[in-house]
Amino acid sequence: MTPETTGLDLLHAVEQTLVNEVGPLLAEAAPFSDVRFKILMAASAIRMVMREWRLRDELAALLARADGHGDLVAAIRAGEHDADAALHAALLADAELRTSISRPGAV
Amino acid sequence: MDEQARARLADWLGQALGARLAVTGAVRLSGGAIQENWQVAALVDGEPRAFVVRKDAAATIAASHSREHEFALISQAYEARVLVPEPVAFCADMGVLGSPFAVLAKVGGTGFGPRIVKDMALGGDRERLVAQLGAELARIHTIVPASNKGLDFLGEPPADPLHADIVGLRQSLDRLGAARAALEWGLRWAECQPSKRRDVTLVHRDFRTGNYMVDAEGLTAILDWEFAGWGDPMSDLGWFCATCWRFGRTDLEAGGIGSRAAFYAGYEQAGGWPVDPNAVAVWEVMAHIRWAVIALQQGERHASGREFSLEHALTGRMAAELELAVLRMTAPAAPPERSPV
Repeated sequence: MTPETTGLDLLHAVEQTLVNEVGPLLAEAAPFSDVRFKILMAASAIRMVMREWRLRDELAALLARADGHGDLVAAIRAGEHDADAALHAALLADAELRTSISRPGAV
Repeated sequence: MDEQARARLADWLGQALGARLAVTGAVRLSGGAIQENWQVAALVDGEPRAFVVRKDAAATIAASHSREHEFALISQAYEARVLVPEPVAFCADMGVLGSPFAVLAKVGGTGFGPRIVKDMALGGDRERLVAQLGAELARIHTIVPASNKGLDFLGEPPADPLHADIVGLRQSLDRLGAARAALEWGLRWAECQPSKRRDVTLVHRDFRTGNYMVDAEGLTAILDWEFAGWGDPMSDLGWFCATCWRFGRTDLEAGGIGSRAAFYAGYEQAGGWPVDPNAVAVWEVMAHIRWAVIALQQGERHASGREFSLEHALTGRMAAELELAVLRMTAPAAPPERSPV
């Protein structure tokens, strides 16, 4: 079978082009320009999309759980979960998952 | 700024200063859709001077108030001997530059947080710099509601600043329609902490690396006064030391540039309030929550379609790492180990 370029491969190629080809060009021409900053932001956003895609199943499960968080918010405010270690552990796991998409270095 | 605007500015500023004044140059510095900063060179009675003109790009009533209030705050801080750019004059006349504006003396230095943290050629000795920042904060905290002149727009001082902030952040989350259980957890944790009553003072509310300027020798100015209000002085210490404002140098607990001990000592020796480490710790958690709420608000500006901005979209995503930090700081205490019988 002919190897195919997946969507993820394409994103990776775009990200690499921005970082390795467009970025250095701008670094030379205008090191502190807004455009260079925006190119770096775009590359960062693409890396985030790639991580989100790889973790999509875990994220879908997290979002399904978070759907019911309206009631949970009210309960936390009412003090019904003070020092609730199980809830804290669950929230921590969710925050770690979200952060491993947005900024893995912070996990 | 065209020739006619320069001429109107020269006339108005000359009158304000009671001097012969000619504008010799005007360069736009920075800002975005909301605000414009201009560096203006002038000859004042023949002497060269440099000013910064801060104006709103568009004349909106809410925004013009903010410029006037910011000028009032900087003026009060200047009187309290805080290192701020000298406030020169405020112009409410829309006829001069199209919207109200403030004129401040130009101050040298750089303010970009990531650069200050990395570039050791800036700011002079770092322990001295954090002590100096502590001393500036102490002077800000000498401004109290009783001595308030012209700060009525700040409203009534809150009886319990921590509680007021918790209520305000919950309201912000409700307005966003954001069910963020991690932030709620952190707010409830803060609400349950024992607190000591302290006098309410002026607090800067955005006193952090990135909002002051330094040159090779040291500090040159404290900037960004638009969030200032009445509050708990310990909240400014917590905001400054919060991990999220250390720009990667988490080992340097005072703003990513120096030790907490030097910062606290500089604060107390300059007449600041006795530092309450427990209160500062609570305010550090609150700092992460407040920054997360601001990040969500920025993200919403993009997500709602009101304002297209990749930067806002990415800022919104920062809420996750801030929530993680909040949860790590607020773990329930482990159950006491059973003592051997």
